Amino acid sequence: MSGNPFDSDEEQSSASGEILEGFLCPICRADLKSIDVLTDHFARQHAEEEAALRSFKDIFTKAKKKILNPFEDEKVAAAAAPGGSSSSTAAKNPNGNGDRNGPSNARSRLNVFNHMARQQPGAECSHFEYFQSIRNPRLERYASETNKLIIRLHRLLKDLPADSVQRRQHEQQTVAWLDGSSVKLCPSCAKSFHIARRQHHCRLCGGIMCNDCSKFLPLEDAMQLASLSTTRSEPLQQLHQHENAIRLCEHCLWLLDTRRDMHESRTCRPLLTQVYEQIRQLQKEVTPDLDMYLKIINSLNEGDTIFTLADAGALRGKIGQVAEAMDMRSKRILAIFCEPGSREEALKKAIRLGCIQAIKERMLSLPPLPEEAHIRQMQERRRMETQQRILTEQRMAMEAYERNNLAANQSGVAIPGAESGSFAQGSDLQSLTNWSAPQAASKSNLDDPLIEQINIIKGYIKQARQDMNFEVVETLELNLRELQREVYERQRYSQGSTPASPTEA
Amino acid sequence: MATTPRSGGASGTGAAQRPNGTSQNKSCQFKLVLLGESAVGKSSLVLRFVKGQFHEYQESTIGAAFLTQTICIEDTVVKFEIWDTAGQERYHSLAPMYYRGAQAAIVVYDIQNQDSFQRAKTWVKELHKQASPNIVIALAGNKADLSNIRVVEFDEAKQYAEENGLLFMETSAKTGMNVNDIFLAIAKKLPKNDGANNQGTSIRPNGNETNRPTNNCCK
Repeated sequence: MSGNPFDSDEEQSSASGEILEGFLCPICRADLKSIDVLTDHFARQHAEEEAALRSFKDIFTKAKKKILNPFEDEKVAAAAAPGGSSSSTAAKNPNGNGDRNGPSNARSRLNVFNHMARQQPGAECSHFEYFQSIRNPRLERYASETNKLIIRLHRLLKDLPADSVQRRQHEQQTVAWLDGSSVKLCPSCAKSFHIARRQHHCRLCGGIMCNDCSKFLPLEDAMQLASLSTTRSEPLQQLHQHENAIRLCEHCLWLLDTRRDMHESRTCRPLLTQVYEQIRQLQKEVTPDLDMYLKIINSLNEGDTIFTLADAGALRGKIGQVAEAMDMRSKRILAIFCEPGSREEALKKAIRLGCIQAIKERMLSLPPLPEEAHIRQMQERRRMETQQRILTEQRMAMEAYERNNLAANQSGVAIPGAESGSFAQGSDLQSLTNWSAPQAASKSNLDDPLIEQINIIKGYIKQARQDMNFEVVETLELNLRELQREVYERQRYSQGSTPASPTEA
Repeated sequence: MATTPRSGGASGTGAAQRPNGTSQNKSCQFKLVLLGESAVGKSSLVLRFVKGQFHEYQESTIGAAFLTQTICIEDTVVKFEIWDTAGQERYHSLAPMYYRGAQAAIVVYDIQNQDSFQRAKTWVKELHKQASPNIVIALAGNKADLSNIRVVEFDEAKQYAEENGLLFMETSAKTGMNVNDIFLAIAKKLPKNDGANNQGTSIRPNGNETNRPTNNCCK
């Protein structure tokens, strides 16, 4: 205020009535030509006069200055940063976290401030390392403390005597109790100990507290906690059921509780996940059924007799049930409560949509069951075709036989082979000898077992049908057919009779 | 309230009251700030009080204007440091700078303009909240010479002023009605026996005052 023009001002304004006008500083009355300059000037030049408003204005103008002319500020900041900012931060938090990590932490904090001074508007700066440098030691400390407690807890519980005196001895052996003779006040509530308020010890750290400040950990929970990290000790459980709890101090209980919470949050699976996994399982299971169904329908339409219409119907019913189950479960997921608009809600909707789509595309679009009349017609036609073929083959075989006879008479050498391959199985004598003779010979003495085998396989098929295991049904049916043919061939061979209709039941 | 026009006497009384180094035993200095919507007549009011003049086409104030006027009440010399702020909205952010540390404020509105009265109310509210707690606030309903086309009723404003503990007068800078009176009323209401009045304002290196034995204005 040395340049205060008050005196002359008074004379002027009083005598000649001069009026000052413009962006006047209310204190030094200098005209500063613009709002910004005035506010800036006022905040800087006359800041020390109003300590209350100073801090606020200071921050405001500094921020503004930074935005308005960052380059000019940069130079100033660069010059001022090493001394100025460090001293100011030290003054602001003289005992922040500096005591935790000593010089390294302090240095990193200083670095952070340097970054802040230099950064441009909109610039980003990662403080992750700084965060880690604080977080890691703290985590380590808690982890080691908790581990220590768990080990002690385990030792404590391992052979905990039922008798109270022995138990006390055991506890004191495991964890050394603090000597309470010099402790006059409870460390947590600061009340004095006397005959009514006795000293108690934390069973895990040995610390002293009064009864009111003691916490109790139920034995079952303690067992669970101890077994989380070490081997389980089951027999103890029954042994100490009458003992209720372990006396702990608040800090130890907090550490144990935190550990348990962590463990639970890591292992628990939300309902959503469980139901979704069920859906996935259903989807996976139904896939081979779908393929099988298509196959059955195809074979039915072609007039095959391996599968029956009842098979297809049953399988279709099963697929329908799976679809229903999937639909129900996806609805259930949708019904689980969550905050509207959250990502969880979106996820649930997506699951539901996916289910509906899967059901629609894979399950509801299956071809319908063919009608029985149609199937019968197809089978009839097939049988006719087969008979037709047999007749032609028989005729051809007869002709070939005659020709063979003729040739044998002429050259005395029979030529089987080339033609016989084109003959249908077991439809004429020639092919019969060529094709099934060796097998028939090897199995001729297994007459009874073959029939038995057929019966067994029939049983299997029945069972497989019941279980809707149609893949097995298919293989067994094919096997059965082979066996039946075998039996038939052999019978015919042994009888030497003329071929009959080879169709099987 | 007095309704007699004082247009002629304004400058004359101002000059007569000037102490000019008289041997009165008390001298006080007050910071006074004028607030109100633009074009309600703040500058005209001050001009009438300080110089006894009135301009029909007063230009709108830029930033703020600073004037002083000294008056005599009984045996006390009261010097007003008047900060006439600009009423336009863009200068609003400057106002706290001026009313901070002010011992008195005149909130002016135009009796023809209901909005300006509402704005005056918000100014009063702001002053109660942010200015020094024992600030003397006067409410001036200006342009009283046009009372035949008034919008803001006298009683309404009077009641509002009483509810909020404000001095209230309807003034006319054009005719000079109540202009000096309102400043005088403020001067009377301000505590003058206490040097602590001057805490918020600058310390003046005035030899005339420092010589006085009763001087206690330097805290």
